[in-house]
Amino acid sequence: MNLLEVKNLHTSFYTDHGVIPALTGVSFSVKKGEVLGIVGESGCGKSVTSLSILQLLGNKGKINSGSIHFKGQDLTTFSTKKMRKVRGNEISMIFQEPLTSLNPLIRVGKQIEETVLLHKEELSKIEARNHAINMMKMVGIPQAEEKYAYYPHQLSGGMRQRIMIAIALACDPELLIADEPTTALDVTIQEQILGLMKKITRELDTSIILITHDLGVVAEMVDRVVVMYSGQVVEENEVEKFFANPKHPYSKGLIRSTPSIDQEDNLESIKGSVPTPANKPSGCPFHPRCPFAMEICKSQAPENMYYGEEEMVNCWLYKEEVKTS
Amino acid sequence: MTEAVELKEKHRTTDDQKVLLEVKNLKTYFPIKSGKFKRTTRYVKAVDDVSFYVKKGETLGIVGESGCGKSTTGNSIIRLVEPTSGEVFFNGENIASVKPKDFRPHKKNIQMIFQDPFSSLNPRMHVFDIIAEPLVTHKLYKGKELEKRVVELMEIVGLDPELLHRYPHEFSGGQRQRIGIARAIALNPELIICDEPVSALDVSIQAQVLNLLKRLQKELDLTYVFIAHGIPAVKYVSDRIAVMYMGEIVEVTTNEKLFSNTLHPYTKRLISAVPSTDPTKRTIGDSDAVADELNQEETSDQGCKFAARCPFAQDNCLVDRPKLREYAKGHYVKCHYPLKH
Repeated sequence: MNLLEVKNLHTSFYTDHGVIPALTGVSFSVKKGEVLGIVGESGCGKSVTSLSILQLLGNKGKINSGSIHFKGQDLTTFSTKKMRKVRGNEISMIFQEPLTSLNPLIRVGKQIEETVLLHKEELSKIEARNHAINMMKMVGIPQAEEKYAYYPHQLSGGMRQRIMIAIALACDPELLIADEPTTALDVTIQEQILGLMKKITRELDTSIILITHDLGVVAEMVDRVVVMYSGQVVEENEVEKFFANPKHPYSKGLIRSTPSIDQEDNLESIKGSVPTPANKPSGCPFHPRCPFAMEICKSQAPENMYYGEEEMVNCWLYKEEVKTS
Repeated sequence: MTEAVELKEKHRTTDDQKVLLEVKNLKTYFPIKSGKFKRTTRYVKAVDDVSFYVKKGETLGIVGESGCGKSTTGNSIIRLVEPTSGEVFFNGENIASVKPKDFRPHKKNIQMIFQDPFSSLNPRMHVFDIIAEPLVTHKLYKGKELEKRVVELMEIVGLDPELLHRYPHEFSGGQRQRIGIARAIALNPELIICDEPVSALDVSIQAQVLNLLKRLQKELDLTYVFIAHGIPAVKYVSDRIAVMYMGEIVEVTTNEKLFSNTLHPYTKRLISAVPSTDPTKRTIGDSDAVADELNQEETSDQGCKFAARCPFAQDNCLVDRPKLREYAKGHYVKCHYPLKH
């Protein structure tokens, strides 16, 4: 059974300028112990997806339809109180910017301890403190006992992100959602943080949803890839198959426009720019930028076409190929 | 003879392509004031004795992590930050020591492209006014001529001239960066300093802007100093690359040699940390995830600044600061024990 199963999720934001559809039919699943990568550019809905799962959309965002099954139960039917028990305990999250997501007035050790006390009521304060220090050691913070009493501003960006990981993993969650966890960090620090996430989640058998715009991070970290564009999933595949043979024209463009260190040829770029959710093009949302766009693409949105259970592409180009295979 | 002079002499004998920009022993220190009377107690050595040259028509990439001084180097050249000491020769004239008034004519020839296209364009000005501003300031065009030139510039950078009277907020990030580029090339400069020109942009847009910069270089005979932290992007556009670490240049050489014949341990570390875009060649997670981060305050004034993180450091690395030296032809490194190949 899948740990998490998102089906046909529609999420909209109700603003003063009207209703903005951020997600229009997102489906994917995460298996136990698996690392799923969600790739896309700004405004494609990858962060809204994670906020929808945790129901942290705020008072303007709303899930219109679809289901989010976690361990067989539909999270969209949960009450606020019940959801609070899930967050941080069974599903936890790491955000992009560790400085703004930590409380600047509370010592970092206390912030880890707080999470532990909230979800593990059977622990005493001293046990919780020891647990917090152990977590700090586990995420590779030197002199953890001493650093326990530090405030966030006394730590570097990489160290803060380690604290965030310690908080996220303190209650041994089954699913960790990491939203651009290394985007604000330097490349050598990124290497360390990614290595750390890989090692710890393997030890604890945690599943991860890794949200990123960086294909390098995807290639290094994930088992399966989901590509999002303009509020929907356009391609899904195993990571090796995805890089060897990307199907959707957007995926192809994304791979070819990312410079790599062994880059020899000229970079190809995707023409135009990413549409905002408020002015989504008709038909297939990628058609104005697509080099292979046909007549049908302008008026009719393609269906999800499946090659197997976990190999999907949302593009008219593959209609015939899928039928005959 | 100083290191920098050596660099220049050697360079002159090997290649007669003209040196457009030469930076010699550039230092930019920021004072830290503390205590009751706010006396200067210490300095942050943002740029600490940096020397390099850029030849006409080439792109010099400056790469390094945040806080290494790469942006301050760019800002010191164009004097957005006043350097503490050192010389900057542009077309043979020392522009670091001239009076601000006398520096003005040079500004025509040195332009800058900034990182964030959202905060570097005045939100209350039309695109036309933004691009025309340098032309008006330097009294080059007027009336119909001015409009013709602005339209021409928009076409060069791939913007629709129809959008002349729009405001910056009506444009996407990539288009805004094009506006910034149009403004930078408006005065036909010889040198453009690009400070992280693509790092705020989406992946599919980054390639567009990088290709545009390459095309303009060919068409307009531009020279670039390309400052960035993204190694693949720097590699894609640069002819030569300088690697900076804590205010110093630790290695400079051609694009090809920096990767095929890496000499400095820090450069090697930096290159190996770049995630590969091939899932069959994963490298992350093989080594221990021990935290080793630089701490500006802990480094002493003695010895090599990288010694504390360097896996090959010897005893003398901690006390004796290495000098930038030419290890192989055109390949400079600041290390006592360069890597063997």
